Amino acid sequence: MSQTENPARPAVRILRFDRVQRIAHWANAALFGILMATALPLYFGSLSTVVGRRHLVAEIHLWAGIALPVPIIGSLIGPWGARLRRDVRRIDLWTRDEIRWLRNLGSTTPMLDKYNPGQKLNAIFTAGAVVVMLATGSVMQWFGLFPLTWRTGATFVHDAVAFAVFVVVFTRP
Amino acid sequence: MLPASEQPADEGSPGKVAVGRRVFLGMAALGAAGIAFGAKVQHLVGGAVGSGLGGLLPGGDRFRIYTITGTLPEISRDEYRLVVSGLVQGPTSFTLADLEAMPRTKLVRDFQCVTGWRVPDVHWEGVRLSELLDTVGILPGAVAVSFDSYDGADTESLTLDQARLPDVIVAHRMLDAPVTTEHGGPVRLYVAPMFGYKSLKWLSAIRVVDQVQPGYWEQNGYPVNGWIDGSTGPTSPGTP
Repeated sequence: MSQTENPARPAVRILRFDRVQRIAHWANAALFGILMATALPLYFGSLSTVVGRRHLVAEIHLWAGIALPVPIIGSLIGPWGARLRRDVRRIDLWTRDEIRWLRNLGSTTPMLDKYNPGQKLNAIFTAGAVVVMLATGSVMQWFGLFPLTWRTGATFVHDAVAFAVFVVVFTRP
Repeated sequence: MLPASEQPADEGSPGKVAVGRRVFLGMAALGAAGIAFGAKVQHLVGGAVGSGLGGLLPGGDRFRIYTITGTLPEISRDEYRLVVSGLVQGPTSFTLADLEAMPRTKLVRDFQCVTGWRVPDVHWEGVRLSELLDTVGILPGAVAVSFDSYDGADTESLTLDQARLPDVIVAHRMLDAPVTTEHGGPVRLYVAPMFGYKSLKWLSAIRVVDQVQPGYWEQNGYPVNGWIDGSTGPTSPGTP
């Protein structure tokens, strides 16, 4: 069947992301949105006095944080995660061309696969941020189990990575 | 032929490097190192950074502002009263001017929250609690001191020995200015050797009593003796 015979129907339909990937993506984005929105009044005293209800805000932040790994892990495991697992491998493996792009801070133009290296880097950063924020957040939440220097260190890292997440989300071209 | 986006990643081909895994593990390792050594890094960077990177952000406060009730009690400087009562010779109501006229103690000490955040080298100024207690006169049988807040919810307590430590003050200045409402002004407690929750905000009353009455945060699971150095008893070897 050619396009001229039936113009309403595209000749090739490319399935870039399946339903599992789309659900995982938007669930993850929603959780990030909740975490970032609740982070602001928890961090900025001037905002917290406007918003108030610190306990409720903290509780929402905590539960959104606990839920954060669920969409990622839930979509990766099981037979439904085949396409996502294949994309994770795509993101993991870089060609020499792409590594050269990274070394030159984006000034060269690599041959593009499904994801460009900037998208890959963003995905890797997101995965790393999830793990670091979960670990440091856990130390802050269940602080009784950890020595004080760990708690102070965890708070320091949590703040720094949160800052990086805001920068990446709002400045990524 | 499949479009480029549909070709499976070619793992076996030479020249492909697992950059993703390396960057991911690098971030995780950096995070773990940050938990272990972040406190030292923060200490080195010092007051400029405060609790995390907030000090670098415009409008970023270095303190996390906690309230139990969700609102900040607004008490005007003229109407403020600190009532000292209980097992004392003369129950007294102090105005802010009374407190400001008393001998001042200045401290430059960290504010350390039990959950981990810390604001280094905060300037505090106020009246030593021991001085205030001497002014009103303690009766025999007194064992502890209880504190009330204008927020109507927070309470705290110290043993009489803890209350008499030289770095426990009734603060009316903080961060080189009168204590703001956010920080518990016009008058708050500052218990330097203990975690932040012991430094009750919006101090309204001091009652000298015959037994330790666990305060709000202690009833919610925090240690009654909140020594920063980790001691759990009523006295700490680390205190001056």
